[in-house]
Amino acid sequence: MVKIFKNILILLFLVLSISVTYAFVNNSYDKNIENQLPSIVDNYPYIAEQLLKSSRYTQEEEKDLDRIDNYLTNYVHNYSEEELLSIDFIKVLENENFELYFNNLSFSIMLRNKVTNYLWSSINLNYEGTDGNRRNRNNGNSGLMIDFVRNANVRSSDISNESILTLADARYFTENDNVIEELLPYSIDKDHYDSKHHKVVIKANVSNNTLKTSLDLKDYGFKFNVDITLTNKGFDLFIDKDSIIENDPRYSLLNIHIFPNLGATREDKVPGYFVIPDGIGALVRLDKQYNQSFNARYFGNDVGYNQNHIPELSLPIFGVVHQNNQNAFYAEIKEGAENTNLQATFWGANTKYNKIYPRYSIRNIYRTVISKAGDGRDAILEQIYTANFDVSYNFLNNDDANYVGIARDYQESLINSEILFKNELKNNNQIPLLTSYIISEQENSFIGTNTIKMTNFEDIDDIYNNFKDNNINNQVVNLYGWSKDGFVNKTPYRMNLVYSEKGIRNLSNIIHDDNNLIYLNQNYKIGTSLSKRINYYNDVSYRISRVRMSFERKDINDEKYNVFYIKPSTSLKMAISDNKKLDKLLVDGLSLEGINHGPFSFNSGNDYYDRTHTLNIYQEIGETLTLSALYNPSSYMFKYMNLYLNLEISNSQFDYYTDLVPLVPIVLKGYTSYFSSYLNFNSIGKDKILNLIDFGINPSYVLTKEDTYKLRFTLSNRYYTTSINDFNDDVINNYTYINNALKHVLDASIVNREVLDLGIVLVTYSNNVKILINYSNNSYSYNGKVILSQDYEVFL
Amino acid sequence: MRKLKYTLILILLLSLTILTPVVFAYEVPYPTYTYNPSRGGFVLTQDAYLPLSIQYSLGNLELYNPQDISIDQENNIYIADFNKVSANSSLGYIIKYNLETNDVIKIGENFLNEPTGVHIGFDGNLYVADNKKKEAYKYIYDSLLDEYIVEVTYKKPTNSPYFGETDVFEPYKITSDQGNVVYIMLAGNENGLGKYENNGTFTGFFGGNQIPKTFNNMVRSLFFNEKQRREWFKMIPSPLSNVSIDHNGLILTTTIGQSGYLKLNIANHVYSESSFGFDDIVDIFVGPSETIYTVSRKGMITEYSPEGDVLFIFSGSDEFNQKGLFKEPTGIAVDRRNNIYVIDNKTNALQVFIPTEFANLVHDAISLYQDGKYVESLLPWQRVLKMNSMFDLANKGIADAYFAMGDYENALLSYEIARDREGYSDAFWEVRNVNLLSSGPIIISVLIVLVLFTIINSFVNLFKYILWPIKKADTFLNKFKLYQKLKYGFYVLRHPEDGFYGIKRENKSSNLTAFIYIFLFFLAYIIWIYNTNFIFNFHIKAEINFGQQIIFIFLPLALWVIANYLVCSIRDGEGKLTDVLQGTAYILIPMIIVLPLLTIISHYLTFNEAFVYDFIFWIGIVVTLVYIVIMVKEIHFYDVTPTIGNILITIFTAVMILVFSSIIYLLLSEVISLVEDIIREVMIRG
Repeated sequence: MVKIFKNILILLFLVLSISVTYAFVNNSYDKNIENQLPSIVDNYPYIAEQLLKSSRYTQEEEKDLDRIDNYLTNYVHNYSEEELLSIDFIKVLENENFELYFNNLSFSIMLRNKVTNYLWSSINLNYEGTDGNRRNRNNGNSGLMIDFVRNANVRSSDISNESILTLADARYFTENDNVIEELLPYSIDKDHYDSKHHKVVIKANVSNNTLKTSLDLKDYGFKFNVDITLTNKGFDLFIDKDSIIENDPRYSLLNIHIFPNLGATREDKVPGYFVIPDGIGALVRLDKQYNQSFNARYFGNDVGYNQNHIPELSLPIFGVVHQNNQNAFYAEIKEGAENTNLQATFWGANTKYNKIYPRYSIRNIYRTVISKAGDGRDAILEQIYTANFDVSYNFLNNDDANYVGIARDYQESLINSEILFKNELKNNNQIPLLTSYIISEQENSFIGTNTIKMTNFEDIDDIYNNFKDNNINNQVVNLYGWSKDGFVNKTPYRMNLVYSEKGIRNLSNIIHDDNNLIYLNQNYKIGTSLSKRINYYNDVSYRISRVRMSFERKDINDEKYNVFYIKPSTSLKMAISDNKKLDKLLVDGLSLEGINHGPFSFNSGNDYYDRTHTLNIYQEIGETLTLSALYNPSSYMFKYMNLYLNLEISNSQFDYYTDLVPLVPIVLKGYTSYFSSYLNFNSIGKDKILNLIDFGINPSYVLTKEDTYKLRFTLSNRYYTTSINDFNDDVINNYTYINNALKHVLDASIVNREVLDLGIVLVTYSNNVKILINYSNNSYSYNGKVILSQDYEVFL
Repeated sequence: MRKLKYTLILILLLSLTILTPVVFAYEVPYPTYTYNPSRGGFVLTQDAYLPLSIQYSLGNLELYNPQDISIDQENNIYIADFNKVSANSSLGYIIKYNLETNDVIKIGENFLNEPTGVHIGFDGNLYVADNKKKEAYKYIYDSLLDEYIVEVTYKKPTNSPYFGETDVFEPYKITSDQGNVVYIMLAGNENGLGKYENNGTFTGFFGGNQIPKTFNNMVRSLFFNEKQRREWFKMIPSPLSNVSIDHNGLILTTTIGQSGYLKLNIANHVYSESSFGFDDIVDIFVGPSETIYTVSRKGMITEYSPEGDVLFIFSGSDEFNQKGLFKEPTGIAVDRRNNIYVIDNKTNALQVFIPTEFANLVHDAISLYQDGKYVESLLPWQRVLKMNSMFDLANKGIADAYFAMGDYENALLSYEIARDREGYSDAFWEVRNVNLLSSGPIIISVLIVLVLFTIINSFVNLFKYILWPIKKADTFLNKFKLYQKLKYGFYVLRHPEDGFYGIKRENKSSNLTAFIYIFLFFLAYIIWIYNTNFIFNFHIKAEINFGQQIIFIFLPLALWVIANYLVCSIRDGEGKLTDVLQGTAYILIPMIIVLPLLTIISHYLTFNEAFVYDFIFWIGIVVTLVYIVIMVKEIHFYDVTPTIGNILITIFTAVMILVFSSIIYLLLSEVISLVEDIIREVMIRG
C-alpha cells in the first residue's frame, strides 16, 4: 500500500516538474521573441550605414580639405572698389557691416560683408567661355527677370521670359584695359547696351540709406519701382504693387524674379548648401550634378488656381550657405510670401550654376472651364495681386553661418515682431504629452447613420488619471468626434455634443485643476458633402474660373462624396459663433486644421479675391479664437498659435535633397510647444523616438477606450490602431524616455546642432544642456561617457 | 471586374491621400495600403518599406538601359544592362554589383548585345536571356580564370514541331527550377515558356495562358474552328510578361492585361493565384519569407503572402523626382533581409527600399505561420495587430493560433473580426459541440417533457387549452375585414388556384393588404440581410445602402406589376392592375416565412450543415416561382403555354421599360448639360 502511494507521489512529481519545465520553456520563448524584435537598423551593417547617409538624416559637414582649399583659393573673390567700379558696380550704400554696390545696367548688386570680407554677388561669377550663348550669359549677369504673356494668346506653355540684359540685348567687352582679366566676362559694353532704342531705363537715387530705383521696360510697357535699403543684417528689397504699371495693352506681366543669381554657386566648387523650408526642413548640398529644378509656392498651393506643387513651405524663408560656419545668407519674405514661389535650379545639362531665389507673382494663369467635361482655355485676370513684395536678406557669419543660425535668426525676427512669445508648456517641469481621443464616429446604418461610441468623458478621465499616476502630469487633451456630426470628413462640426455638456465641463474642470489644457478639434476651411453644417449653394467657394471648389472623391465604401472649400466669410462667421459657445464648455479652445495653410483665391459674384484676402480672414479667425492649437501652421498663423500639432518629421524627399534638418523645431523651441504626428502609426520604432529627442518634439498619441476594429466600417478606419489597451504601456514608456531627455531643456532654445559622426548628433541648448543622440548601430564615446547604440545621453 | 473595381478604388484612394488635407504623416512620399478582406477593400497601414537610396551609377558604372535584376545568396546584385551605341548596335553586359563593398564587374561584355533577362539558378550559376542575339546563356564562374564563361547556349529549336523556319524566337526573361530545368520567356509567344533541359535541349512549352472562358469565347468555340477563331476574333492566349520561381521550384507567371500573378505546379496547373493585383506587372520576385513581390509599370510595388493575400501596396508613379517613386520600373529583386531593389529604365537608376520594423514583424509572423507553427506565431501576430488593428491577416493568424491551442471561443472572435468564414465555421462547430455536450441533460429533460406531454395529450386534449386563447383572438379579429383579407394569404398558400380565383373574383384581398404583404416582405428581406449570421451573409451592415435596397426590392416588383398588366391587357388577359398587384403581393408569403426562418437558423449552423440553409432557401424560391406561374395563369385566365410566354414577355417588357427610361434620362441630362455649358460660356466670354 505504502509502495503504491510512493509510486503515485513519484508520478505526481514527474508530472509537476514536466509541466513547470514546459511552462518555463514557453515563457522563455516569449521573451526570446521580445528580444528578437527586429528594428529598422537591424539590417546588414552596410544598409544601416546607407540609411544614416540618406536624406532622412542630417549629414556630416564637408571634410574634404582639398575641396575647401580649392574653394578658398579660386572661388572666394575679394574685388576692390575700383575693380568693381571698372565693371560698373558703384558703391551706393554703406553701413558699418556692409558695402552695397549697384550696377545700373544690369540691376545687379554686390554686397561686401565687412566682418568677413566676403563678397556676395547677384551675378554668376566664375564665368567660363564655354558656358553657353549670350542669352544665358545675360541672364547670368542680370539682377531681375520677368515673365509675361501676350494678351492675345495667353497660354501656360507660352510664357515669355526676359532678364534686364536680354531686354537690353547687352554685349560684353572682349578686351578692356581698364578691367582686370578676371572681371572681363562681366564688363558690359555700353555701346552695345540698348543701342538701337531705349529698351531698358533704370533710374536710381539714394536717400535715407535706401536705393530707390524705377524700372521702365519699354518694349513691353512694364514699369515698377524697387527699393533697396541697407540694414544692419543686410538689405531689404521692396516692390510697391501700386508702382507696377502695364502700359502696353498687348502684354501682361506675370512674375518678377528677384536676384536669381544671388549666392549662386558653380558646379560643385563651393562647399555649401541651400536651405529649403520644405516640411520640417531640407538641405541640398551642392556637391553633385542634379540636373533638376525646384519650384513651390509659399504656404502651399492656391486651389483657386489649380497649382500642383508638392512641397509645403510653411516658413517664408530660404537660405544659402557658402561653406558651413563661414558665410551664409537667408531671405525672409515679410510681405507677399503667399504670392511668391521659391525657385531653385541645380547644376545640370542646362546650367553650370546652382541657384535659389524668390519669384514674386503679379498674377497667375488660370484655366477657364467652358464645358462640363472641363474643356477650356488659359486666361489671366486683369487685376493684380493685392500684396506688396518685401523681402529682407540677412547675412550671417562664422558660427551663425549654417542652417541653425538661419533658423535662430528667423526666430529672433519673429520674436521682435511679437509673433513668437515664451509659451512652452512646462507643468511640473515636465514636457507635455498630447493625447487625442476619438469620442465617436458615424457609421452607415439601417436608416441614416449610427453613432459608434469609442470613448466617453469618464473613460478619458480614467486614462488621464492613470497617466497621472504614472507621473505624466503635463498632459494636453484633444477631442475628436465630440460632435453629433461624427468625425472624419464631417467638418466643420456643429456644436452639438455626443455626450452631455455637463460631462465635458466636468472633464475640463478636472484637467484645469492640474493646469492642463483641453481642446476640441475643428476645421473651418474644408467641408464635404457629408458635412451637415454647410450648404452647397451658400457656403462653397468658387475658383477663379467660376467653377465651384468641389472635388469628387470616393470613400472607402465606394460611395461618392465631394470635398468643398468653404467661403472664407462663412468660415469666419462659424468661428465667431462657435467662440461664444466654447466658454460655456470650459474648454481652452479649438485645435484647428485647414486654415493653417493653403489660403486660396476665389471668385464671388463679379469680384475676385486673392489669397492675401483669404489669409487675412484666416488670421482674423485666429484672432477671434485666441490661442488655438494649430495643425502644421504656416508662419502667418504663428501669432495665434498656442500649440503646434502634428509636426511631421518629413519633407518632399526629392532625390536631390541631401539632408533632413529641424528647421521648424529650431524656430519654435523655447517659445511654443510642438508635438509629433501620432506615434501610434510609427513604423520605424526607436528611430522615431530618437528623432523626437533630437528635434525637441513632444510626443502625441490618438487613443480610444474601445477596440479600434469597431471603426473599421467607418471613415475613421484610417486611424487603424488607437485602443488604450494596446498603447497604455507604450505611452508611459516612450513619454518617460523622451521626458528624461527633454525636461532638461524646457524653455531653452536650440543654439547648435552638430553631426559628430555618422548617426551621432549633438544638440546644444541655450541653457548649455547638450543632448547627444546615437542613431547608429554602434556605441559612441563622448566626454567620457559611452552612449549605447540607438540611445541618447544628456550632458548637463 | 471585381479586381478592376478595386484598382479603381485604390487609384482613387491614392489621389485622395494626395489631395485631402493631411492629418497623417507619411514620412515617405507614398502611403502604404493593405487589403482588408473583412471589408473587401484597402486600408491604410504603417509604412512597410522606406526608400533608402537612389543610385544612378553602381561603383563607377553608369546605368544605361537596365532591363532586369536578380540577386544571389551573397547579396550580389545582377543587372542586365546595355548601352545603345547606334540604332542597330548595342553593347550589352551583366553588371554584378555588391552594395556592401561597392565592387562592380561586367559579365559578358563584348559578347552580349541586349540582355533583357537575368537569373541566378538554384545551382548558383548565372542565366542570361539576350533579346537581340536571340539566344540565352548559362554562365559559370571559373575561379581559376576569375571570370564568367558561357557553358550552355539555349537556341531556337530546330526540327521542332513548335517552331517553323519563320517563327520568331526572342528570349526575353529566363528562370530555372530546382532540377535546373531552364524556362525561357519568349517575347510575344502565346504558348508559354520555352522549357529546356539544362544542357540546352528544348523539351516543350510550359505555363502558357489559357483563353478566358467568357460567354463570347464559348459561343465562338461552338461555331468556329481554331483558325477562324484566331484570325477573326484574335482568340489567342495573352503572352506572358515575366516569370519567377519560388523556393519550392514552382513557377510564377505574370501577364500584361491580367491582374496579379499565377503560381503553377509541375503539372502545369494553377496552384494558387493572387487575390488582387495590378494588370501591368512588369516583374515578380519571391522573397526570403516566401512572400511574393511584384512591381507594376506604374511603379506600384505589391507584396503578397505566400498564399497570394495582399500584404502591402506602396510606391507609385514619379512626377517630381521624389525618392521611392518610379518613372518606368523594369525589374525587382529582394535580398535575404527583405531589402527591395528596383531598377528604373527611364531614370536609369537603382532604388533600394528597406523594411520597417512593422514589415519585419509581419515577415516574422508569416515565416512561423508558414512553417505551421501557429501557436508560436500568436505573439508576432498580436504585435502586428497592435500596430494595425485593421490588419486582417493578423486576426486570421491569431484565430488560427487560438484554434490550434484549442481556445475556440477566442478563435471564434478573431475569425469573426477577420471575417474568415471557413475558420469561423470550424471554430463555431467546436464551440457548439462543447455547448451541446454540456447542455445534454437539459436537452434530454426537454425531450422527456415533450414525450410526456405527447402521451398525456393523447389522453386529455391539452392542446385545446393551449390553443384556446388563440382561437378566441381569431374569432374576435375575424370581425375585421382587414384581418380576414390578410389571413386569406395563408389560404392562398395552401390552395393557390382557388386562392387566386378568390383574389380576382371574390374580392378576398385588397390593395391595402397587398401593400402590407409587400412591406412585410421588404421587412423580412431587411432582417435577412442585416441579421443572418455572417458565414451565410455577404453583406456588411455598415455598407448596406438602404436606398439601394429599396430600389432593389421595389423597382423589380413595380416593373413586374406594370409590365405584366400592360402585356396582359393586349394579350387577352383578364386581370386588372389591382388583381396583378394583389396576386403578386400574396405570392411573396413563402419568402416572408422563409427569410426570417433562415435568419434564425443561420446562427446555429456551420458550413457542414449549409445544405439545410440552402435547402430551405431554395424551397422558398421554387415555391414562389411556381406560385408566380399559377398566379399569372389564374389572374389572367390563361392556359399553361400562354402563361409561360406571358411571363417571358413581361420580363422582356420590364427590361425595355428600364432601357428606355435610362435612354431618356441620358438624353435629358445631355440637353441640360448643353444648356449649362452654353450659359457658362456666355458668362465667361461675355
